Amino acid sequence: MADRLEDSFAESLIANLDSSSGSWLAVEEIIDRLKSSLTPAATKESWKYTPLRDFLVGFTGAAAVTPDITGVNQPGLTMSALSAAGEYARGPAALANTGPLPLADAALLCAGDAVHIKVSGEIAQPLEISYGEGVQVPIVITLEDNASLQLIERNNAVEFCNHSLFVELNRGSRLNHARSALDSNCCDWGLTQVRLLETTDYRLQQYHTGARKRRAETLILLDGRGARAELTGAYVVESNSHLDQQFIVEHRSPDTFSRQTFHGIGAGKGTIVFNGRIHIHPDSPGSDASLVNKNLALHPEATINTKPELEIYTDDVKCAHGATVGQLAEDSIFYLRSRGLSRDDARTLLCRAFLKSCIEGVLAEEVTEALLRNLTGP
Amino acid sequence: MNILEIKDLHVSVGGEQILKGLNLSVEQGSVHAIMGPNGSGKSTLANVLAGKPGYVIDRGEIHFDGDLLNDVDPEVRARAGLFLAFQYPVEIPGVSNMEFLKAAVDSLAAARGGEQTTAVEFVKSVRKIATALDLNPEFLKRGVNEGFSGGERKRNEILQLLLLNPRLAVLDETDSGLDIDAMQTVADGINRFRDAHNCVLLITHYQRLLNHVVPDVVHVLSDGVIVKSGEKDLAVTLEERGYAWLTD
Ligand SMILES: Nc1ncnc2c1ncn2[C@@H]1O[C@H](COP(=O)(O)OP(=O)(O)O)[C@@H](O)[C@H]1O
Ligand SMILES: [Mg+2]
Repeated sequence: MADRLEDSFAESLIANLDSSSGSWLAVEEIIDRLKSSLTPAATKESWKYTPLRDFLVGFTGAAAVTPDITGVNQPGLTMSALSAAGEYARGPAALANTGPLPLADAALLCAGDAVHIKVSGEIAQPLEISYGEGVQVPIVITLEDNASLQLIERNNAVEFCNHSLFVELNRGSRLNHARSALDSNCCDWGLTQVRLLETTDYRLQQYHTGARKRRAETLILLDGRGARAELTGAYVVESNSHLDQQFIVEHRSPDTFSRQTFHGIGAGKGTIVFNGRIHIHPDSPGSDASLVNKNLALHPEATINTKPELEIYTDDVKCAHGATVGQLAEDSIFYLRSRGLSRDDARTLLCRAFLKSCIEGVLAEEVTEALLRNLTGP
Repeated sequence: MNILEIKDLHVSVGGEQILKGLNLSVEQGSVHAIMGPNGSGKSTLANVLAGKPGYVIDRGEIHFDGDLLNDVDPEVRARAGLFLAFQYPVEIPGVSNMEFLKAAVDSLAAARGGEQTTAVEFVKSVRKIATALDLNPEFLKRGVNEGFSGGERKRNEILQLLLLNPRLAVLDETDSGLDIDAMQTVADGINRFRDAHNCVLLITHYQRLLNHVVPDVVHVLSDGVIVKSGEKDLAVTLEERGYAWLTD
């Protein structure tokens, strides 16, 4: 029995390692990197507001569970085990070299078999992934040249869940990706890595509530000329809830484009962490990036930490960012009340309006009321 | 029978006394105009009638249809039939006019124990009023007052007046900033509203509007009190002589 939580976490990952499929990195190397990535210094900044330890207790050493996947029986989709996906070494390797996300995340991909889904051509029906309780088997999705897919991801766990998704978009492919995590009791930690090659188009709509602890890390690698990523989302964090969203967008090729637009509400005495990082690498002229994160502090004791980070190493780029925390306009509330709407109805209407510009796509209807279910405050 | 009765009303805003003992009775079926120089307290009166937070009644009473209104929430006043057309209507992006108006109509209908109008009936009646007020019905899809000109905002207030059909309409400088055609449209709207069962408190800075909406009584507000009341000719005198002679 390990003394430190970090050690038992590492052991549980190692126990899950399948030597036949963990072929990209030597097992010893994974263990070494994992241990060093879990040192307090390495995790300090990225985990400042969300203690990593809170998640580690969920890694009990039990075998990873395969998520529920529907829509896979369609022409153009094939599903196999990870051993066929040795070529994805670049995925986790790239991640390991990038920014503040700890290697612990990448190591999860090596924790046993992963599911590999290959996509070719235009897929008619959505592919839906639902996560349940426990550590989930990682999913790797490859879109072949000019493929297109609608992906829907739902987190249905109510206790503990850890999931990871690795996507590669090959030339000319398009992925529309909608996801939600709406249970307020869960402790969950999700990692998404999307790598975009030339002239690809990726759209994400992310809808989250707070939870006992919820951390969603998304890494976007713009690795081909003309790659475009549009990330939008809306979130509401109620009392005793915690939501930590981390976005990293790496512009690593010329003429790449990214948009991040997120609106969120601190509806109770809970914590919002939003960290959006734009990194424009050398030799990426013509990059065009923007990040907008607007927060509404509905409750006076809502804690909201939002921080845009920019690192730019190329001239001739466009980059805009803004992060705000505001309050509902009392004049608007009074105007609505003066027409007979109750204070609660007025607040709900204004909150819905605030989130609406960030709610779109296939999940729009199912998430709107869920997000607005419990707006508390004065 | 008085719909509105105000007795010895003292109101302060931000610790400063603005209304200093105002008395006013408005009977059913009548239109009362309130005129007065800038800063005399006209909007303060309008806001305190509507129940705006931050307007503190230090002394005095407001009665509406016989009930004491002093501590009643704004939405309860609205449901009881009090309506304020704002001097500066706010812009609420993201809440469509349609959605807003339907919520308002429904909440008033619920309070009156009446039936909710169906969406189809509702849209029909709103479109009819909008057309009469020269408001392009397309505006209804946009956010509340979003991107509206000053004149469009004022006409939108009159649209709400006609749609909600209150007992008492307090119109705070609905005529200011309007060109002559728009003012005529607004005046037509007010005349269409007024009848034997309701009443209007028409706050205005100019007597121009009063040529179109003829008041039964004209009051002059100065430094938080009504210093003179008279018939409609008083408005003409004020236009010619200004306000100074009243307080000298
Ligand atoms: N929110 C406020 N805080 C402090 N003073 C105010 C506020 N609103 C109005 N006042 C003051 O109250 C006085 C009356 O204002 P108002 O009622 O708007 O006048 P009118 O509508 O007749 O022009 C003015 O001196 C104004 O400066
Ligand atoms: Mg005024």
